[in-house]
Amino acid sequence: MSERERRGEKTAALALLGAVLFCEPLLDGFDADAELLLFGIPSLYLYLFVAWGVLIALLALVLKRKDGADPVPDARDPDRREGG
Amino acid sequence: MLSGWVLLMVALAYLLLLFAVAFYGDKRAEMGRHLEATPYIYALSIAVYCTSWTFYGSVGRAAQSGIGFLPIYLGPTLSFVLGWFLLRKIIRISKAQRITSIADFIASRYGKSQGLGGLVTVIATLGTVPYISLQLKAVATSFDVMLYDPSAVETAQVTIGFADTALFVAAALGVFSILFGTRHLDATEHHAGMIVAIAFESVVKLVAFLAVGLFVTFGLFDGFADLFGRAVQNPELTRLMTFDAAETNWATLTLLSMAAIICLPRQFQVTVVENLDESHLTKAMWIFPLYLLLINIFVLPIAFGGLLWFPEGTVDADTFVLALPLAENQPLLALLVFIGGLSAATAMVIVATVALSTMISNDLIMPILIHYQHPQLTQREDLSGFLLGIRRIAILVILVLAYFYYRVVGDSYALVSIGLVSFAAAAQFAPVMLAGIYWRGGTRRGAIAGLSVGFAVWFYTLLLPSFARSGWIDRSFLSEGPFGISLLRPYNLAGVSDLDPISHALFWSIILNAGVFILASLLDRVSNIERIQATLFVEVFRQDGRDEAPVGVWQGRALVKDLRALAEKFVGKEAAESAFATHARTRGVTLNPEGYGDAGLVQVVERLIAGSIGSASARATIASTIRGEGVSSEEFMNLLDETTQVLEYSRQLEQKSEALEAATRELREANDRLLELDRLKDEFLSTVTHELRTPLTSIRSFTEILHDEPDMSVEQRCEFLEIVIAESERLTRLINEVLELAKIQSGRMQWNIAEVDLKEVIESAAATLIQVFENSQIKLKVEVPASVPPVRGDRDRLIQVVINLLSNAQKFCPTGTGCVKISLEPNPLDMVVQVRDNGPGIPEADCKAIFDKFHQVRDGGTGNPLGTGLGLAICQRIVDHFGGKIWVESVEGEGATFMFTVPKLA
Repeated sequence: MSERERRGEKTAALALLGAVLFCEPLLDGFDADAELLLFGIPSLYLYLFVAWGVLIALLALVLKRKDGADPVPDARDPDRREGG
Repeated sequence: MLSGWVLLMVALAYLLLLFAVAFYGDKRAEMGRHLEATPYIYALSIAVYCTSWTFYGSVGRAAQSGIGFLPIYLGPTLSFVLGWFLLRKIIRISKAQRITSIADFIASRYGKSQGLGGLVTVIATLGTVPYISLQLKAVATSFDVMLYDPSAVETAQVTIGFADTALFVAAALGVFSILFGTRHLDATEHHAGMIVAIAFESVVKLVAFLAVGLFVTFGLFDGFADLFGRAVQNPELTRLMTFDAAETNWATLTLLSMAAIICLPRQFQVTVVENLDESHLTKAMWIFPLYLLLINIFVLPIAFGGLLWFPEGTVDADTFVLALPLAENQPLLALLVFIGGLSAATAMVIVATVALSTMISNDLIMPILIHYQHPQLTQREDLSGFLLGIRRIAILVILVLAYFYYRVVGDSYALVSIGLVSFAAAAQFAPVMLAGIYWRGGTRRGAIAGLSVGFAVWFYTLLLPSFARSGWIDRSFLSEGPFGISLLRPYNLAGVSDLDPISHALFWSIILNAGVFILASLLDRVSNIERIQATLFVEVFRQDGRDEAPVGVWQGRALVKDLRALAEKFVGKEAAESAFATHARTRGVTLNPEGYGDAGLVQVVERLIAGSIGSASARATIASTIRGEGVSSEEFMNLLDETTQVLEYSRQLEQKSEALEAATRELREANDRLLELDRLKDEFLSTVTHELRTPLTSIRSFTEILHDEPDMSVEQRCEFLEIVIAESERLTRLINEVLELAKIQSGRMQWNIAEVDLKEVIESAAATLIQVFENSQIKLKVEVPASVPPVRGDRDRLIQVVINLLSNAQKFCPTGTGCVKISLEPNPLDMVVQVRDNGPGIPEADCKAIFDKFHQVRDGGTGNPLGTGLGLAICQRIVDHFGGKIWVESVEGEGATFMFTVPKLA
């Protein structure tokens, strides 16, 4: 499997993770002790922003090219090229 | 308080600065050093998503529902996480098809349909109007807050006659957008300067918002802990910290904003149309969500700060961002915030109006003008000025509509609620967009039906109620439904009552939209152009990236000079010149102005003008040009040809498989024949062995007797010896026959060819056998004419044939009553010898096989063979050698007639 396809699949997995992180039943759980402050911040708020930040960080990590450079995509079907 | 003039001057100065930035960006782009060609500028330009809604409205929303403002930003994050599959594909398609707007995209996907493009444009325009009015409201309010005491905003609006702040704002934004967005017409619809300016504005609004957030959190309060610590004391504010406060439409808003980030016309513009390089998306996929995260960090602190700071209800939460610095006497910070809000609003209005005006001119006005052959189109040499005029008028019309919507609805809604109405309209595009890039079965009629239904439901469940709530329509329309029909209540359609208005509208509109779209598509027939476009869209990654559709969509012919005139009309002389030159160079052809353009050139021109008037209009325009040459039937024929080719191909396949079947059948028959021959050979071998053994056995036993009994009488001795001799002769004959057949077959036979008299041949053969016939009491009749012409052949062999046929007949005739007749008849070309018997006859199935070697007709009773099975085979080969034929006619039970011919001497 090519590096490129692999990356696509990883982002798909991240999208699923995001759907889970931000789903209602999970967030409902914070209501039990809403006024609980962690680091001075309401737990629900803290959770959402941290989860959001982690998701973005993971995405950036997945999309980061190993060679560092950002090559101009070849107009001639990069998928086939990299698939070979 | 700041003086109004200062504020106005600052705002003006800021707008001028934007112009400078845009101008700089354009200049750099012209020099080929694109400032906007970095993923960072690209990502920042996508942040045009954050409008006044975000800047002012999020805080207002947070003050009501706590975290409930967040789905609007989580949704786009999720969409961008999926960008690898979704946005990348849309961008790739749009580049290949030279898409200029979302209307163009959808119209192009469903067969370059003008009707569909127009419908999308209408929906997008009407859907965007509330959104722009939101910006007007926000900017107007920010003016008022800056000029007056925030708590007295409601009463102290600047009004001159009927005019209010918002009208001035609308006029200013209109002029600004016109100057900004329609400075020149670009064939590719890339607005380098605009993008740079938008990115700049994104930085400004982020900085301004972070600044006020830091000020509130660390200036007014002592950090997050202090702020939230105080909030916890207040049970009303504690409620905002629960998910419960935000839950009502959490999922709806997430899905809605997921769709909006792709389907909003202005987002499509910056993300797809203005994208310069597909690889920029890879970075923007995480930078843009990061931007959203950053600009939202201080929303909750500011909301809580405002709620704690101001006595309840004295200040509109939508203005907290401004009101807090003002209340704390921080005019410079307030000015920065004001500029930030202005950035957010102007960026949105510019991009939205540019996107919409492009759609309106390309997908609404141009098709109509082309359809009615408007004189402007035919008379003008250069249409770019005319197109820009249409776009400018469109921008003004949009702003006027937005202003009126604001006047009617503005006061009765919070910022976010107005924006959500627009989101729901944009979401109507999601089904046809998503299906368009992943499903080939969607059709034009299906898309039109789905969009129409979705739009109608949106209009009925969201737009009309907004008029009702502001009192423009009788409020009973909401509470009791039109004409008192409660099932039709716009917020409770069909009695659904558990959903908030947005979720309710989205539920019904998307379900009906997608449902009707899919159903109508399934019942529809996919036309050729739809199938071609569907393949180009769905399989965009499988095409080899040449940004050309496969030739074959157009095969009509048009004069090169006509094509050039057409291109110059829409994109100007220079662009047309360079496009034609490029085409001539890449194809290695010289373009004769009086000659016909090839299909590739027609396509180049179509793409070229698609850049300025959209694909559907371009197609119609090209069609009219080509039709003028009277070859539109060629295109039709070509499309037909495709089908014919497919049919031809399948026909060839069918033929091949038939041929294969025939070959298989022949092989099977050959195999059967071989098996039969093999069986016959085995049988023959055993027969021959048996035949050889019988005479051998008798010779051996008689010689043994002669050897063992020396006293035997002479007579008896002679008798035994005769038997031995006869058996030896039989043995010799058998062996001779086998050898003879082998000889004939291998071509080693010696032939003594001479003139032969058949009469004499028959007579001598009959004479040879006369004794045999008499012994078995069978009559032999010989009927030959007195004189016969000679034939060419070997006398001995012919005698052999006749003897063979006669002795065969004799063998099968019944003793006593048997009768064999041999006759000779001359024919024009040959002589026919007939041997007729009255034996049992030969079954028809055997009539041919009887001449095969080793084939023996068995005696019905015993199954013992009566001959060696070689006689007739030898006969056939001899007759064949002389160029004659041998065959048998027989009726079972009535005897058989063997016949052979020998050609006469020439």
